[in-house]
Amino acid sequence: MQGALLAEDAFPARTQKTWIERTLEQGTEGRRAVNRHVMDLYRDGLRAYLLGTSYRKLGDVDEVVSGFFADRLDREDYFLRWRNSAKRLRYWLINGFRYYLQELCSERKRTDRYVDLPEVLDGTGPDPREIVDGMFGWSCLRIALERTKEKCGERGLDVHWIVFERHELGEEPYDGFVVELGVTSKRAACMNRTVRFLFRDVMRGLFHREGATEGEIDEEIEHVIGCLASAPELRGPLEGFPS
Amino acid sequence: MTDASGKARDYDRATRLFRLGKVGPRRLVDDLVEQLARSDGRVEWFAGIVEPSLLGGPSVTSEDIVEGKVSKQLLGEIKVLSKRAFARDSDPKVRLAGLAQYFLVEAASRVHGFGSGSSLPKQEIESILADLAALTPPPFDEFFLQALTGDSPDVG
Repeated sequence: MQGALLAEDAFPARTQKTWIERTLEQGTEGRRAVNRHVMDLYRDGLRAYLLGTSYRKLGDVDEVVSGFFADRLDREDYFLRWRNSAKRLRYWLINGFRYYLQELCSERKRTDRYVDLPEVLDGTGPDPREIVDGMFGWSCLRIALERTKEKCGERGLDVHWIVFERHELGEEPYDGFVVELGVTSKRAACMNRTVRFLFRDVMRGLFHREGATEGEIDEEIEHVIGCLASAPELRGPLEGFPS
Repeated sequence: MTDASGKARDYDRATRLFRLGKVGPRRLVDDLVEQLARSDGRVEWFAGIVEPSLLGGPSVTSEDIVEGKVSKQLLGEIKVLSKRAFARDSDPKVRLAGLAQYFLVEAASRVHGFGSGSSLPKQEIESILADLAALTPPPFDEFFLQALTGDSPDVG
């Protein structure tokens, strides 16, 4: 009984719909929005996973990943089965991706018996799951910054965003730029705090969509931070951050 | 800068940014902070919960409090009612009103020269005033900032 309780606690209550479920209910547009979100957040992680295995011989990495998304995401029950699995979405996708790669291998071998394709994963190099977690982290940061900037624009907080960008991303002291913005350093610190709240909400929202509960997110963040160093070799660090 | 040191710097910066996403141990004011963040800076929502009459307080307005038209004694009465509402009322909106009025009174005490009247640690109070300055609509944002810094309000 204890186990059942823990499993239930490890995921949002069954009666509470996730963003993905609510959005899917909006029909074709909703499904497009969910697919865009999934591809944007997880593409780099799947690419990194593929590059870390001998399955990279299957062909162009981007084409293989796009093929996986095209094959799986429009299946009617795909996200319902994810929800029932109680897995983080990135692990659900990786599992599906592994099956997809095996299917692709079998199909290639049927059509070209001389092709040199792997039967199993390499098992060499860094832990693929850690790379995927790290790439998920970099993607989360990029997306959280992009969406925070958008939210600032929507709310007329463009100057607030500039303060956040220069202080938090550019690591400039307030005194170095407040005069040109026409505010005091104390006011700038307050404006920065406003954007921090927006950024925090967006960041936590990405983890909610992954399947984490509110009480799990801080721990998840620390886990992903621990994996960030495994991933930057595959993509320029902070590449894609808004300027 | 070398490539390696550039990567280390990016990693450090990413780590710091990521940790902005954490909430840490929950504070008593976080229900209010979260509601303010959700209310998207709408002046009606905050103005609606900081009216002392909502908690059966004296017939003064929140504007009176901000503008320094309320005596130290009346501020004390509002504070007692706000603490009672937060501690005992079962209605979440009344509890939030209690919290909001408590910190409005604390800000007023600081801005209008009565000193801090809160038993909360100075660091905690300042962190809360900073959050309220960042999330409340005008004119409360500048008022909380003024309470925090002791300066006269600036534009911006």
